Amino acid sequence: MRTLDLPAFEGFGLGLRPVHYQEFLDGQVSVDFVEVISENFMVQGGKPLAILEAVRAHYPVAMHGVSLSIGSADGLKLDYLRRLKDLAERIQPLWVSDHLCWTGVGGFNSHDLLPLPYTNEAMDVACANVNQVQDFLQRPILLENPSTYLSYSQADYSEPEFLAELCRRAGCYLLLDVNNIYVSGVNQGFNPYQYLSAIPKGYVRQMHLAGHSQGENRLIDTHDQPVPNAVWSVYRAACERFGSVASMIERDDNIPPLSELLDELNIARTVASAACQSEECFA
Amino acid sequence: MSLLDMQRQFCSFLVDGPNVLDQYVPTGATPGLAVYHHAYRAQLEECMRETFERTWAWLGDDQFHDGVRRYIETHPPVSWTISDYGAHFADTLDALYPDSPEVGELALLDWTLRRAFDGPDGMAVTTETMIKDIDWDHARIHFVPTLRVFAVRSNCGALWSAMASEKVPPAVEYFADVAAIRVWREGHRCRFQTIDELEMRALNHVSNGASFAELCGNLAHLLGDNHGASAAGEFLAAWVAEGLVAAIG
Repeated sequence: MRTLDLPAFEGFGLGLRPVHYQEFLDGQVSVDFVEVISENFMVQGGKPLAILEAVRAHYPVAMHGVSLSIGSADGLKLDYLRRLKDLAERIQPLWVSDHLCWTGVGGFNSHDLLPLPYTNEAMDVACANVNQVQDFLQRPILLENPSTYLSYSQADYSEPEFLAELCRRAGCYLLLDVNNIYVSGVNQGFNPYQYLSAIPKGYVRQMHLAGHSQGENRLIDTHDQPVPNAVWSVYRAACERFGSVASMIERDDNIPPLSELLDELNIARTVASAACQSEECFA
Repeated sequence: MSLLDMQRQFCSFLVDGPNVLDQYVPTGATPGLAVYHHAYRAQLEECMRETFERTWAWLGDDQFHDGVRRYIETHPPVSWTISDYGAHFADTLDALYPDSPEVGELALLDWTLRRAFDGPDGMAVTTETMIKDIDWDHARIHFVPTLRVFAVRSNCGALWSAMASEKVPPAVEYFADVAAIRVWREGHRCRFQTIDELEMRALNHVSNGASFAELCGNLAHLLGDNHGASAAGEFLAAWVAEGLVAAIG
């Protein structure tokens, strides 16, 4: 494992979505950073890249990917890594993140965040892949806990244990998606607060806040609703445990006017502030 | 279990292969597996609706859905980016609608415009910025990198434009003569133009490396000695005016 530095950054941000491009281009939105979906800008040219570079002139940018497939047992896609590195060098992001998942093997790409079994073999695969990514990018990455809709028969770790061990062994960091913890907790029957307790302090560098929907048999991580009260409660507990961590609202569908998301972000500021003044706060 | 074996079986399950995941998941995992099975198709179909917006409008929800499902069944995604998905959708529609070439041609136009949207940048020359002392005997014309040309048999361009501007589309027409559409991006604006066979030949000739003088000669062969140079000049003037030309030299 190589230790790569990740400068500290705190603040409150939003995902950069096309319906809000103009407001961010004007540079007057009161956020500390924006997060972009990396793949949307890993293109050869045109309007998307021009907009991102213009927004970058106003705001720090975090790059968040969905196609790294860090858990694929047959390795990583080098073409993808090259494109990712090109974008990172162009944008100079706060950090580069993706998900603890796999998206396909053998050339097939499901374009979905498929669940990993939390086994020793998967740990070895993920560690090797994280090391390769970090060596290639010459920067540490953040990995996000996914929403999951099933578990496997065989497991050597719980999910938070797996994430913690991966960070320890590979030197990566965590993007903790509080909504995903809640969704997976309901779907898998675990307690989200016990989940937080299993994550060592210091690995978490960013938190996602989002909403979800009730599916037929599972909660579905739809990112199309405001952050519900149950998720705010988990967020407060996370802030108490992990201290001041960059946090953002992640809204991908049914996207409201920017003012509504900024109101939600103000709730996050209030919750985080209150949590970090409590006696339980780590920071 | 082998992780790679499990992942192969999971992929097979997603594309409707035999479900042998029972050995990897506990009893009661069926609803969870159904979420992933559904999400795989829903994600691809959403992507296709975004990419092929006018084709969707032309076919309507049910026929577009049927075409997309056929495509998903026969074309598992392989690229790291979902924006590559749909590259061969026009072929699928040609097979589904052999007597209605406008359907596949609309899809090809949707696809080519989408490729131009985030394709490579290329600054176009203008009449003012063109180098004045060009050696026309040897000059070659270099087009902007987003330029694509494809043959069409229908007035799909007019259909596309009408739908884009929310007007009632004209009646479908099938051309008696060969025609084509050229697609390119001027600045950040994606554009297209229906062109005749002569311009299509001229564009392809130049794209394949012919010099301006060779273009003049080629057009003279087609139109007669007195008309080759003037036709080439008119084409070049139009291409420069429309932002197709990146360099001449």
